Amino acid sequence: MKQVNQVKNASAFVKDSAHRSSHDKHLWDARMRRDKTAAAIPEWEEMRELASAIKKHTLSNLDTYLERFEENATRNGIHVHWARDAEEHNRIVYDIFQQHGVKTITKGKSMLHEECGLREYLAERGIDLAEADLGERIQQLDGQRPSHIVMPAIHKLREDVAELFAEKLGSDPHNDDPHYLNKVMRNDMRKRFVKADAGMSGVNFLLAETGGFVVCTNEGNADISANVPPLYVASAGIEKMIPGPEQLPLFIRLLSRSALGFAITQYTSHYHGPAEGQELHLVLVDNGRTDRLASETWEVLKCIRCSACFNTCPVFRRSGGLSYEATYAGPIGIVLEPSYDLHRYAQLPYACTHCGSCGNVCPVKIPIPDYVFHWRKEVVEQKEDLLSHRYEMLAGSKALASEKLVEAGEKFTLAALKHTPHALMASRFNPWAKAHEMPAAPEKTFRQWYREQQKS
Amino acid sequence: MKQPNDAKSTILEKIRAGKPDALPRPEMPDFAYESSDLVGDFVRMAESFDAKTDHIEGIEAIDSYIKEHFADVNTIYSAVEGVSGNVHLGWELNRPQDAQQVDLTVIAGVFGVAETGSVWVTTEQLTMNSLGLLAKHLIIVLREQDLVGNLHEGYKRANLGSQQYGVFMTGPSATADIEAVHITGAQGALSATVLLLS
Repeated sequence: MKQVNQVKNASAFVKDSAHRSSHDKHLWDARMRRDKTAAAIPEWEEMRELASAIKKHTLSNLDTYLERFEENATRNGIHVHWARDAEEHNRIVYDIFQQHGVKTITKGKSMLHEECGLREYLAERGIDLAEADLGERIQQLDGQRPSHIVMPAIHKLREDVAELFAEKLGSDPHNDDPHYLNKVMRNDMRKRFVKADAGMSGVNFLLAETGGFVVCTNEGNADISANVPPLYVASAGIEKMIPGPEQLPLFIRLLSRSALGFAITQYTSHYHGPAEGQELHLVLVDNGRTDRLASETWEVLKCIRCSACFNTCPVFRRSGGLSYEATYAGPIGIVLEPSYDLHRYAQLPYACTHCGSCGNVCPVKIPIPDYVFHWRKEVVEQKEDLLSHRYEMLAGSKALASEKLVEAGEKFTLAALKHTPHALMASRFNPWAKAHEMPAAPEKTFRQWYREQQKS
Repeated sequence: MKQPNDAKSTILEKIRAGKPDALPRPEMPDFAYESSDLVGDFVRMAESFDAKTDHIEGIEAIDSYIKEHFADVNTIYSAVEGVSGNVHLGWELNRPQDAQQVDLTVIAGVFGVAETGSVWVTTEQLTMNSLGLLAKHLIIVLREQDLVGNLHEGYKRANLGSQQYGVFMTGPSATADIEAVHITGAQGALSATVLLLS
């Protein structure tokens, strides 16, 4: 597959100041709310440390926890399935639907379903699936993947949604009031909820000790999808496991505060069996997770998909999630996606300024900044790096190894700064000057100044 | 061919072969909730999620509360003894989908959480889960003495696993998916009122 060029993909978004600044602002607002709500809890840092340790404990004993989960869930009347990869997951889900003659589905947002390409898979087989989360529905109708794991359509402006809904749902193209657009969505979904043959959702947490699972949403869409149709199918990555109810409050307290800066999601829902007259299936999915567990970067599996790292990332906020051309964008995406396909995602670990903020906000303390370096190293060792980077690095390491060359370089740079005409300096030949003014040139280099000081 | 057991053993074997050395299970400390005003905290948090809150003297006052505050509702389902409804399980309400016609559902909350303004509700209180999800408006009746401090205390009380469905409901359904504009009344309830019984 073609290598993803995140820089090129982002260029249109970067130039579009209306979309970019709205995106930047809303994500930064979420980040600021996160800081405020975190600061209000004295034990916040202790909670992060503990959440990390619990996840590490569970992952390092994942086989026994999975077995315990299956045993307890089965006892609760949940049909548990296992899928090695995306294809197997999709086939299991489709088989269940075929056995029940399912034609229409409403579905809560799930990043795992995105990862598996479930929507496309079912569409090809004639099943009418409607995403029931507003942002995800917008993206489905627009034929795009979600640009953000919590706010799927946050890269769009209200007029984009008005235009889309007018075309797809027959609403008033001149009314771009978000309240009106929400109502259009609600009215359309309400018709679908009561007709749906099955409901689907992802899972936030699996509870080994009680054999249940937890789904966190704000809109109520997942709860309706789970509780109204006669059949409910949920999908969970195996890394969603935690020991049980004793540990759960810690993660619930961290999740929504880290995501949007709110104390909890409106619906924090716990399933320990099918509703009366209903059938409940749960598919446990590997899809690369066991490979990751055996790798150096296994702590990515601690991720609870809160999106705090997206919201704080200066690159993500300004380039938009679609530029990553991947299921997972942002800081967690650039250290996760290369493990699926190193060639395709070789440039993603470079979508980073090394500010380190992602590591500081992560509620489960994934060492994302360290992993960025890990993947850059891997990219270079596997010769997947850009030729331009490779030669720059080669030239750089030669030059920096020689004091004479460094000194000559300093003098040359100073002369260039002093004497290059501004028009050339700010031209397209100097990519740095795209959004910057070059600094004023000092009189002499630091080395020259230092030598003079030594003499006097 | 579908071979589910194969998938299970492959996954478990891969985990056993590649997992990191077993790390200990951390002890959960007691995170205490420091406050002398659980009711005040609960009300403030619930309202921050756009729930309405009110204090009532007793269950018998709820019928007139509904007449006063929900004058325009036609169909009322009540799962609380002493509160009148005009649609009933087994009559108008048979399938989960039937909850769509309900304007107002009245249920009891098991307990509330001051830290988040949430109320714990299970199938037992909802009678049919969809009644709390598809109804336009929701009234949850909660005794003030059933408030706990934080979620750690809440989960101790929730006794997970004993109920098929249990949910912390916090305010009505909401979304901020279009330009982060906060809107109440997404797919679930349009409004949620918590009536606190002292």
